[in-house]
Amino acid sequence: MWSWDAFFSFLTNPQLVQGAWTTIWLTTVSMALALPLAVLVALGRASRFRPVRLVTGFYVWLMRGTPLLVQLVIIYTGLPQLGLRLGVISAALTGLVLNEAAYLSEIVRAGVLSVPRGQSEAARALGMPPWKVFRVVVMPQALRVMVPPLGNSFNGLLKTTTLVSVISVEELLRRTQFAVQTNFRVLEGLTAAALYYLAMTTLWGLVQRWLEIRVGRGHQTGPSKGRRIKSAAVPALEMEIR
Amino acid sequence: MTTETVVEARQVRKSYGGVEVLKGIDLTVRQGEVVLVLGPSGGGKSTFLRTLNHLETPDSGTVSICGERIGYGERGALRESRIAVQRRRTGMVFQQFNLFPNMTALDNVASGPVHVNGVSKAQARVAAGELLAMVGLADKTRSYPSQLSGGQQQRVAIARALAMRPELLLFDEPTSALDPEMVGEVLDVMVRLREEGMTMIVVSHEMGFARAAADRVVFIADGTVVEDKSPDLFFSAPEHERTRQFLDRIL
Repeated sequence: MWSWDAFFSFLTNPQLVQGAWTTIWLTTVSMALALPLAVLVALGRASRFRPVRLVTGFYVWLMRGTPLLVQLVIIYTGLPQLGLRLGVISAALTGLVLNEAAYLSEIVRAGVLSVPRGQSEAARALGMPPWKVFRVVVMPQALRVMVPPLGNSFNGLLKTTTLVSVISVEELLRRTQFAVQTNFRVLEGLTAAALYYLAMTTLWGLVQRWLEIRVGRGHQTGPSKGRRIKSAAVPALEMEIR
Repeated sequence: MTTETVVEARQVRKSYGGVEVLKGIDLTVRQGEVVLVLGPSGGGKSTFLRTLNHLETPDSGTVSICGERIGYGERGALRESRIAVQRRRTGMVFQQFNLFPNMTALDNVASGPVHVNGVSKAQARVAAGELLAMVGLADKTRSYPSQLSGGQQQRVAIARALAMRPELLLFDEPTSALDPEMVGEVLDVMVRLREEGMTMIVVSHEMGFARAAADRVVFIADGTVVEDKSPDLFFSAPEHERTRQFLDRIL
């Protein structure tokens, strides 16, 4: 039988609030660390040097070809056998960042490839050195295409963090499970947790909308002079890549 | 007319996948000269133009701008970041304009001074505003490229190239992507630049521009310079059969 009392007490349970906070910062920090790494990997995959291409290609292949859950357990429980002992949070962050960066690097790569060659040629013709061409001209335009799939990844990562509960990180799911153990109201507890996730992804949706408008500057469709800007995402990039 | 040499290309060769596109091109352009490069498509004229600022690397031969060899220093081939420094002397205008879509017209024009020369944004914008006024777009400074017509975009692109105060301007079919009624406004700007003494090399099929503004017409076909003459002589008395065939087809 469903108990509204139990449900509402879970909703306001400080344990869950704290867990949700852990989930949010784990996601944000992982994403913030994974993105620069992904840019490096994407650049590596486009490198002139074959060894660099091979190493980065291997990394992406490995990370995308094995389950995150397995990676996490190897990092936290397996590596100590080789003398490498990471704390819970470090292990969780390592796993999440390494895994996420592999996926993000594909988004970055597609974004960079979507910028017409004429753009970098115009920048070079002006006399910009390579890193300026990338930072001033290519990256901002790639970002416009990258934001929708990146937002998709962030949304996914919010929920993927539940996996780190397995290596005992006290994020939202694990905290909820603890709370449930006091009264065994599984349905109410996990429904409350689900609602928390829903709130977080909804909030993120709003942030993403704002980001899309920001990076979409100059890309109005039609001659309207207004500030209302429609982002023209590349449909292929919007596909779920996982 | 001064005799200072701006462009000196010697025996420039380039192949793509076994096909020789440039078969040893020589060209000398002096300061203030306007050279129109004509020729059938696929004849190598755009490729040659792009070797002048090293957007294409010649397989052999040399290109010098204002006496400085492009792409090579005392110790052989230069890195891209060094070539970037050499490119500051040369402006380029593209067929597809290639304006930066995420920047306003003003910031497009200011982008070179800001990101290449390190000029402050405020200062660069003032200069950019003056250049936009010069090409007749004083009222479009805050427009994004997507809000401008093709002719307006190309004029912004010319202003963007001018902002770097180049010694030489390269035009790669600047009017080919324009609606006919917009060709004139772009050519007008180019004619004005000539009056101000700008050295220009223009790859184009605009015969009107050839007669009105070119000092020389260079005809490139099959990867070689077939003819190099004043416009009058070029159109009235072409020496080579290849040139006559071409003129018959387009005039």
